[in-house]
Amino acid sequence: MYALTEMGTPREYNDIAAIAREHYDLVYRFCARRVGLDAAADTAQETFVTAQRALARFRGASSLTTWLLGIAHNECRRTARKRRCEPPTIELVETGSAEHHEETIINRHALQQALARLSPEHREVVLLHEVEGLSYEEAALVLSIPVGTVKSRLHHAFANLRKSLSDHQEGAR
Amino acid sequence: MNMRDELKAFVDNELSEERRTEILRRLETDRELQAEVIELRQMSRTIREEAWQPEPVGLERTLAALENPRKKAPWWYGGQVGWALGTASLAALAIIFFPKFSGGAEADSSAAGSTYALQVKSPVAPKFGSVTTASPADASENKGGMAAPLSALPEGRKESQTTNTPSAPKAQVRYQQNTYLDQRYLAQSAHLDLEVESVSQAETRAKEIAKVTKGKVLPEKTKKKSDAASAEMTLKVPAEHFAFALDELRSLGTATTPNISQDYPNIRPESSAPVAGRVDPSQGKTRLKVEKPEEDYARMSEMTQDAKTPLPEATLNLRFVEKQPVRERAALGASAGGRARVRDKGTFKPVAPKPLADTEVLSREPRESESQPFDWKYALLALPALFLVWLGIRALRRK
Repeated sequence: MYALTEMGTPREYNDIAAIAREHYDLVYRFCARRVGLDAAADTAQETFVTAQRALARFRGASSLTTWLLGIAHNECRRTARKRRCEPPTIELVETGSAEHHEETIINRHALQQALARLSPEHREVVLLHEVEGLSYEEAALVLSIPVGTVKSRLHHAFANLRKSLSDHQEGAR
Repeated sequence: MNMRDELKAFVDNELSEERRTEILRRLETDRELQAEVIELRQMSRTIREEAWQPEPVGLERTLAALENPRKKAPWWYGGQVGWALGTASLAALAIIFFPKFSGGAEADSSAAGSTYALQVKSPVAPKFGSVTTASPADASENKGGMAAPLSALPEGRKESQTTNTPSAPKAQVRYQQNTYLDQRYLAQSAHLDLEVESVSQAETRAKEIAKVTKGKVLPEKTKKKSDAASAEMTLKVPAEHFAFALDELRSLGTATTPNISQDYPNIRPESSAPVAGRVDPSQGKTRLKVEKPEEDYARMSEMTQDAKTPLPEATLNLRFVEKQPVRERAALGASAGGRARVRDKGTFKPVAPKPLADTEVLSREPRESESQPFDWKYALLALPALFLVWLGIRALRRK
């Protein structure tokens, strides 16, 4: 998307439409995990409408994806405040790709429970990095926090997950 | 930093090359560290592969919205602006309608030395008999200009609701409580020159009035000329009956140069000189020129409600003169104790005063030449108005 800024500021409708087509799925899923399915479409639409207005100010300091997810993050917070939505959750669904089916089921269930016990801040960084695939730096830009904070939160999130899984395994024995 | 604290960053490939090399070297020998790395990788992969991926919907609607972009709402459209306006409106209304919130009693903004007219609504003839008009003009038409003997004060002392209705002989009298006299602040006296049909009858009547109002006649100040053509007497009545007594006395004859003076000892302790006034009995009010600090006016207003404060006595200096044939009077000289103003040349014949409406006893009316200063608190009404306009615009935009 660096080329986008090299061409100048795209103001035409086609450009924002192209951006929307390319990034809608990512933004929609981002919103759905945070505000639920009912409000995801509206929030995603608001994200692109806001992006359309702000496109002139986009200078390419970050990737377009990061920029859009930053807008989506703010829209999700606004929607969550308005609709009093629950904090984001990380749901795991069986995909059938695990090699050791039984062990995975146990692990998945335990992992799901462990994820549910994470704090909202830890859950957010896990979603951004693990699920949405953002780097530490990109996650920091979306959340408007330092990179070191993202690193620290991820470390503690996974430390808690390990501990929960370890306790679960001991309990199972 | 502890190596274990950076294992997750190592697994995510987020470390510098140097740090990564250090951890790799350590991993070759540390089995626990290896197990931990493996566990972190497994958790990370499980979350990544098995996280819920909802099916996107609404792309077409989004594209349609992008095709017809709506204008961004103006800055004043936001809810925060509404909250601020609403709160400010409530505060403004509280200040306007509840003066307590504006920080104290309202002070008269007129400059010191302004002229005020104290409206004294004079009592009208009460239930007690043929005491009628308080109008000096009509008094001469009555037999001897006297009213029927007063046996008692009218009952039901209420706020001043006295009106001069000379043409209503049996009108009710409601005399006023003393609403503008306060022992601490005011001492009131009146000088009344009356032209009467009979001096002796006027004297008798005046004594009756003093008795009924529970006042007294000061014998040492009673003078009578040998030819009984004139007499002077001084009455002391409770201040609360002052107005009633004054009006009853006025009805005895034709007032010539009455003078009411007021002293404000607390304001001018060094001087208790009476202030000049001018009586306009036709209007039923006395116009005074006074000078006082604003705070005392405020206190005067508060005093009107105080019915329990012991009230001082008021002095009524009377001078009865037997009525002479109509003659020109060049000037009306000052009566004892005050400065009088000549209202007009010629016979002073007050016209029948108009009935006054039921209002407060004490009202302050600035001179016509003085303009009421603008009360800036009413400018605060703009805030609630602005809030209503804002609500209206929001409602229209939603439609």
